[in-house]
Amino acid sequence: MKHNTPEHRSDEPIYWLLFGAGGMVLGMIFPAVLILLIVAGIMQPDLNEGLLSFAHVKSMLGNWLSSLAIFVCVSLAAWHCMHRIFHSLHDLRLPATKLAWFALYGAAACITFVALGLQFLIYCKLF
Amino acid sequence: MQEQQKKSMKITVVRYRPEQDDKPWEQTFDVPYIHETSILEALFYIKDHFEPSLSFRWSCRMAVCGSCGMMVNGVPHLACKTFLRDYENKDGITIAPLDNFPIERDLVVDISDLIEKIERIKPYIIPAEKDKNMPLTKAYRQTPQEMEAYRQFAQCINCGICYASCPQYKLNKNFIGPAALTLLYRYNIDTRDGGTKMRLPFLNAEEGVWGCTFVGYCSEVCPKHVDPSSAIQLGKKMSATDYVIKMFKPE
Repeated sequence: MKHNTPEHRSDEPIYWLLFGAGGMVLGMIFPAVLILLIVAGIMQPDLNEGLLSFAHVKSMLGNWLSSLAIFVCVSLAAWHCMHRIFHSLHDLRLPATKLAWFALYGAAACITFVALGLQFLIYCKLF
Repeated sequence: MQEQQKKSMKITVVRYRPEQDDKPWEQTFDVPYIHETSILEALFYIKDHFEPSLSFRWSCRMAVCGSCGMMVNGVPHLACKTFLRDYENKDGITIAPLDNFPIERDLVVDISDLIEKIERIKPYIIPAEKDKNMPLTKAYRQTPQEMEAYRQFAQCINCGICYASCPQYKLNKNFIGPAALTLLYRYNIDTRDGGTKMRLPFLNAEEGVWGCTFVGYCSEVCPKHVDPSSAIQLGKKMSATDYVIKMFKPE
């Protein structure tokens, strides 16, 4: 029979696992953060002081644990979105070409490295 | 028996006779029906009273054999399990052969691709190495919980309705598709089975679970409530787990 030799193994699990992890972040963590931000904003509308002040937010990035958590959430969310857009291209019968693949997953990789770089600069008090 | 009110419905059937027709065409009939009349019975009526040449597949008439899958107003259904009474407020019924399969004649489609794919994934219990010499008089023991894990996925009757509904199969005929992937998963999680290693390459391929984008329409239309899209997502989990393990432990 012509199909007795199985097809090549797909590398999709890497992107699917990142997509799944990003889905958890976007579905559970981001809404919780959004509620916290809204509550903090209503309690303290003046952004010059209090929870949402620049100094306070910046000092959060100075702590290695909260900085790591923010990096993981931001980068996973980026991988999730780009994966979803790439597969939506296929569903909408737009050409899901290799170029689109490099552009979208490249963007996710860029967001990851930019977030890592910026947070590292802030953590080392260089910015 | 209580006399039922005689009603009739306009039924349009897609016809195709390969020796006469260049392309499929539509023929409309007025079919009398009662509360219990199924689409399949309406087709019997058309064949008996108007058009003896009308071809369609059927066998059990009770949603067990999976022969009478067809498109009813654009939605894939088993003709025996779909009733005229549910279309009373619509402008008649249009019956067409199952989507995504080549038409052989009238409502009969060529499902050999589906059959080949189901065969390909080895949908039967392959004894594990340790059970190879087990005497035929001994039974494979399985707990109710172990059976419950795959019971739903074992209800598949190979009717091909999920293939007619699958947009990925429509775009790419190499995609193994909902029913075959569901059966693959069903045998892989069966505790009596030892053939997981043989089936995994089909699961792991781009044409396997990774060809699915979780549209979920197959689960909506499945007449046996097998929920193929859930089996495919669980298959993705199985494939991803295997992928990560192989990253650290190459064979």
